[in-house]
Amino acid sequence: MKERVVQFGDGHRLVGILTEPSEYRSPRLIAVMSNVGLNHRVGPSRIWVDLARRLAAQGIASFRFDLSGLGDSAPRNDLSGDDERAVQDLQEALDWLANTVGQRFVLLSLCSGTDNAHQVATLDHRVCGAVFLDGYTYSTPLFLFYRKGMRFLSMPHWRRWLVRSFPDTFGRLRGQSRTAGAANEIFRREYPSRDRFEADISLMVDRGAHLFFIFSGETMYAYRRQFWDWLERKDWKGHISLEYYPKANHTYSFRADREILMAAVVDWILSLGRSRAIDSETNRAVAESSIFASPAAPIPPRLRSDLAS
Amino acid sequence: MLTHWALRRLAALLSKVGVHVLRFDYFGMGDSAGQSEEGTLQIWQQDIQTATVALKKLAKVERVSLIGYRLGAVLAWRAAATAEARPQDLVLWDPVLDGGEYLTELVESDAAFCARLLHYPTPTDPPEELGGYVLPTGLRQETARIRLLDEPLPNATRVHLYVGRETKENAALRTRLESLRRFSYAHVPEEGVNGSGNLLSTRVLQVISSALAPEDS
Repeated sequence: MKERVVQFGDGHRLVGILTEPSEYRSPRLIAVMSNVGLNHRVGPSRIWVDLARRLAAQGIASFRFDLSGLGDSAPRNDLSGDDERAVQDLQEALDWLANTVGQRFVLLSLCSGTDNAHQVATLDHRVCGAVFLDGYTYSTPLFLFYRKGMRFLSMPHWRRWLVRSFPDTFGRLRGQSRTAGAANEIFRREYPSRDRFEADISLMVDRGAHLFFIFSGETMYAYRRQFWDWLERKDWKGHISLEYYPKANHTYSFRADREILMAAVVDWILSLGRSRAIDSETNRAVAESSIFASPAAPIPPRLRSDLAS
Repeated sequence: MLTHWALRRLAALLSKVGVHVLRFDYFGMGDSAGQSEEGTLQIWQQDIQTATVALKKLAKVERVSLIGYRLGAVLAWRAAATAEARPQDLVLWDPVLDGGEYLTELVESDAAFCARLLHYPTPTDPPEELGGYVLPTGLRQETARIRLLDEPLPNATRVHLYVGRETKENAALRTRLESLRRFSYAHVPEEGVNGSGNLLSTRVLQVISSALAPEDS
């Protein structure tokens, strides 16, 4: 395995670490990861570093990079919004990789990072796979039943409610007064509508991309098949994998949870590499050369405007 | 996360006043090689010496200055005693004075984090993980033994102590360091969200960059 620092993008503003295996597995897939919240490219608890090195041990390259203004990357000097900038940065990373390492990408993202990965995976034919950790979620009747109804029978919910509501009593008993991180409720993400989400997934899957959705116990997800329950279309099962880790927290801050997650992600990417369908379909897409052309389905207006910006 | 952010900003300020800067990750941390649980204070202290040699070569300078934040300040203090690393300036930014208390702070911070979760492993005593990382026994024991007030005085041309809180212990350290010929001190109050110390403070970065700026800048 070898790792090197890369400066890329317009004016070499962006910084990333390319991790390459000593021997590439065929077909050559490249896993791409960027910031999780304000963490720099190593990810929370260094999860991206561990994943990159485990993938390299299996013959798969990866690229961890900082979006504009985060980590070691310089800010963009334009008036675009955070989301637009992130999408542009991710596309610049794929462009650089396509010219130097290989042309088939698997995007790995967590939380707000999934917003950018979702947009790019929708648009960019070079993306043959994507792993969304705590990506978009949508409510279902059963979700409401579990989250709103059954929580009254859940000891962990009661414990957390007590500590949050009476920190001086229950927090102090456990040495758990509320200090750092109290602002975590401030962050809100803007979700696409359920129809928009489904249309985007259609675009990805119909062109042959494989997707892996993983949900932790700290997101708006309450039971294993919730994902399938909020979708109208059900014929994607060969292209979509799903995992639900109800006891893991959002950033996988405990080692046991991280180990399970990383094993699942590495296995999934290896199976993606073994998939003949991915190989032929992505090759075809890449061979058609026009990265954003989608002969099967026209790009929706919202995405067209994203692309234009 | 915040430390990376603050050190990056500090590096930018220092380079503006003409100081070459090398930021690096200790072994097992950030982008550097190794697993998090493989790090020891001794290895990290050696890393400072390696970084010093690299910076001297890269920037073509004969002496360097060391800046350490919290535990990094302890490591810089200790590394300064070696011939390779003996710095021009040694900046101790909110140094850890007592390793046991430092570990207790981290345990409390972890407990506060766990209080917001639905599920978490049963806490162990001593802790096996802290702040999202595995805490190996050796590192925990080494850290618990830190008593900066009892360590031999640091070996540097100039020593600077910058603290976010004026505590009795910080005052004792200041008194001790005042016996050095060239010593400066500043209290830069903590600001911003709880738990971030003065990492978000622009003032502390300006104080450090002013202290290290060449006289003709």
